[in-house]
Amino acid sequence: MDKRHSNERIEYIISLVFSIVVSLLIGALIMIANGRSPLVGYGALLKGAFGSKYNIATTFAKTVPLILTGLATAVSFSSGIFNIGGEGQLYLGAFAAAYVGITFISLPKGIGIILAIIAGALVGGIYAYIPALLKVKYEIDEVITTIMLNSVAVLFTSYLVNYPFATTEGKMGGTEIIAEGYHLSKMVRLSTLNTSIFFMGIIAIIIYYLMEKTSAGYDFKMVGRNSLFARYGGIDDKKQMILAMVLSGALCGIAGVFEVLGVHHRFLQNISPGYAWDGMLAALIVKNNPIGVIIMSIFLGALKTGSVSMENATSIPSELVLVIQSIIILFIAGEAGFKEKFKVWNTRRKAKQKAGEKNA
Amino acid sequence: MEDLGKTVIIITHKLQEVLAISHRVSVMRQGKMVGTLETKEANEGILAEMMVGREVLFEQLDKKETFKEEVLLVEGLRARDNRGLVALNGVSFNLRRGEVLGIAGVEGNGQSELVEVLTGLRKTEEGRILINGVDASNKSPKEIRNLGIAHVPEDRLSTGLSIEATIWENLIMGIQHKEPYAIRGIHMNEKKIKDRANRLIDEFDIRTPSSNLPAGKLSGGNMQKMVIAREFSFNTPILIVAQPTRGVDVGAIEFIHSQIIKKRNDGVAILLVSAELDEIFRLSDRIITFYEGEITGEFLKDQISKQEIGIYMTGKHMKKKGVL
Amino acid sequence: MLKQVFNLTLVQHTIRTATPLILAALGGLLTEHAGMLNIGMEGMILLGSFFGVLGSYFFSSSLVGVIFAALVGLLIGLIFAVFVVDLKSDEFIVAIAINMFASGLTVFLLRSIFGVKGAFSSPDIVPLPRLQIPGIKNIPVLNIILNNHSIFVYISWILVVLVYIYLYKTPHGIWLRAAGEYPEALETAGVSAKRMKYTSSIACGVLCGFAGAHLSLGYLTLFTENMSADRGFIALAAIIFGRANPIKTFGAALMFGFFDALGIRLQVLGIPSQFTQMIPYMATIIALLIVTKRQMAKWKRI
Repeated sequence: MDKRHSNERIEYIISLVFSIVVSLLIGALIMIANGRSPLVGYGALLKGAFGSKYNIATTFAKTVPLILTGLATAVSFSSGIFNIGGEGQLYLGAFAAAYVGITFISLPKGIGIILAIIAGALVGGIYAYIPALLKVKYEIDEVITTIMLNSVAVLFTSYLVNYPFATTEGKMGGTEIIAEGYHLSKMVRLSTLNTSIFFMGIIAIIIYYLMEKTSAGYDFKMVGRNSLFARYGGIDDKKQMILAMVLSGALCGIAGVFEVLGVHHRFLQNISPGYAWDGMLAALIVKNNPIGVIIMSIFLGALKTGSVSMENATSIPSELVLVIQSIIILFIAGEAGFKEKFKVWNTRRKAKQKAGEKNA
Repeated sequence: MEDLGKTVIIITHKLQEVLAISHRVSVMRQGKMVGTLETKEANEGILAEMMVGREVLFEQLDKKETFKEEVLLVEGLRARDNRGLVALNGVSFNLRRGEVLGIAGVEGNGQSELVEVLTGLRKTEEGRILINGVDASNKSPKEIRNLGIAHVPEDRLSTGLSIEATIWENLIMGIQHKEPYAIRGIHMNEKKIKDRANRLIDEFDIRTPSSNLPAGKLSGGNMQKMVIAREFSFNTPILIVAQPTRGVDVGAIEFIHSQIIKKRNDGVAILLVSAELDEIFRLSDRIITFYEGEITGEFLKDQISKQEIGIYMTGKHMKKKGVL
Repeated sequence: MLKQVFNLTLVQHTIRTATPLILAALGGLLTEHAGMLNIGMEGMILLGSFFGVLGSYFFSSSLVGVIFAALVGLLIGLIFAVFVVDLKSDEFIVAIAINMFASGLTVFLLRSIFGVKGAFSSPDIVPLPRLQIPGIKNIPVLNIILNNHSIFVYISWILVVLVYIYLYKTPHGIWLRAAGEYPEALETAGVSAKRMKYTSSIACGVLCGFAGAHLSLGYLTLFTENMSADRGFIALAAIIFGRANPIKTFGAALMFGFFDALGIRLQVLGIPSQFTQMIPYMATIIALLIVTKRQMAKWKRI
């Protein structure tokens, strides 16, 4: 390895750690302003995230949707097309799984689950295909269309579960419970951790392999880095962008499937509290590196799980971690800019020093 | 405006325009003022010579006699530029093995669009392109590459490379799906790819500590050598080379020129587009002049002087002086 | 049944629901003209509604509430500009951070200051004054439609005209538009494009703050979690639908407000409202498609 290249990576990791530390410090200040001890608060958070088998299980249960939607973001962003529509794709994928689960109730266990996953992936992928097509064919900004389609999907599924597919168990905005054969088994008592984490692991390995080790992954990344160069080199950049978007949508759809099969066993109209956004943040923070997505998802999952215990133990509202998260994002977004400013400031300071020495 | 007592500065490469309306004329070349003279003392010949520059003495290149069989035929090509204006208006020529065909013209007269059309980056409206007798009009860049054209683009930063990608990633572009670099067309064989990259780095004298470095860390000359290394390594029968030495230091220019002639001597058909007349004259066997999307002249290299060709490039002699 | 839905109250509700959209959209179109797509409006509105309630509650004055909302908007607008303009961060990442920050901070403060979960409401929150136009008091139709609205309804209408005049008739407005389209040319003319971007971003923050204050102090005096409820995105849709022209955007916001109001009324009657709620988003996508198709046809004709 050459030094300069790896140096850049290390430099980024350092600024990342720095951003996280500063954000946690800001969080500590907020706790102090609230009249609580940050040591106690963060202690409770840490214990809540990793303190027991149950806590660890809950933390890892949270990583399933985060990693899937994070990888979805990584695939699309590194291919130069920005899928912000993960939330909508997740909702539709989740509904598709629930639909399969309440319709084909006599399928053998394994086959039903596979079918539900395929259905969710398909629906998520197709839904992502629309903005991809609009982008490639008409150059309509996919950031705007995917944001709009998020709301459409959430509203559409909300209609479905309140009217045609509403459960008879009372007005709750959900479908019926899916057939027994579709339930993924729980792994730790009381926690939501279930076998979907293994499916997720397999999918993550496939995506990592695809993006980092194959010629197809090379094509995706080169389109993202310089689409004209990719086209010139013989890559069909438009096709590649559509593929990336569809793949990304399929991953988000699968994230929704696991929420239904593993956690709720039915589709609910507010099934995701913004998983796709959190997953996207995980990917943004690590600049779309697949392994980084996994590490960051565990970190964010731990923050989420730990914050609940923190609230119970110290009555610091758990939403504090949302504030901390958003500050991390802000720092990371400004990272390059901060560095640039710092460099300019540093050279100026040195120049001044030199001038001072000369005068003296 | 002038009658109002205002100063008017006009910047153009159209000689007639300058001669028609200006009082004084200054010539700039490569960011430097070459000279200023009164318009009444100037004529197109003098201006063209000033614009193009006097001869730079290079070492003589050793050009072998090679056999000449036609590999590329272009007939009546018409295409539009990005603004929708006609950029190519009925362009026809042919290209033979073992020759360098130079396209001379002031930039913005359709040469860029010609290269884009030939390499599949731009659509044609009329006319056709035959590569070894196979119709290649409006084919994708990939199909055209497979038909045997490699291409060094005029703007390496926008088209020829990715500054974020590593040098080895840049060097594999175009053959990333081919054995042995992609096992079964899927798994990238990083070892083979890097071995090849290191070989090219040596062969083309790309100055870098490692092929793992992002290409953006290279100097302009080394970036260009990287692009040339990649395209020349494909061993295609046809090479399209646009502005091969733009923004490149003198040492690299010599190297790039010698590589082009080496390819020519190996029997490759080379289409050279350059704004540098010295380069055109030094490398070409045959020269075509371009003006406003049309071919204004076609010459064997020894049949025309640089001064004379400047006039064809500025559209004064619209009469075709066909020689071949 | 149609009579139950389509009546004067619907018009009145349309005006009500459109107002925050109009205010936010006016702000967003300013940044849009300055060359920044601002999807952080959602968070700005949310912060505005919370701080509006905060100010009004503690100082027993709706004016202080509005000032609080405007100040927090100003601050967030400033942060947005610092990151996007000076630190050259990706505008949409910064906006997402702002949205997340807003939803986290408002709930956090709601619980740590007021000690409640979900919603906070109190008789001590002073609502915004309502306006009675004396002249139309006795004209029945106009009285229902136009009278007795919260003050921001009228302010938003005036602002539409003012923003229009500002953008197209004042040199400052022309600079603002140039900052987005031809920043180099603007710099050549000796005007800082940076400053124009800052101005637009801060103005957007303040206007979104107003929108938030209208939500939480206008008709109901309460704050609920996630009170902005996608209004920032609908405002964005209005901007795109109205192609960032204040008058057209106003029209789009009114239209989207109408569908929102219609949806609520349909829901009361047991008819699914989801489809009417979808309209702003679908309309935006379709509008984008029509506009680009038309543009492409134009290109081909040249």
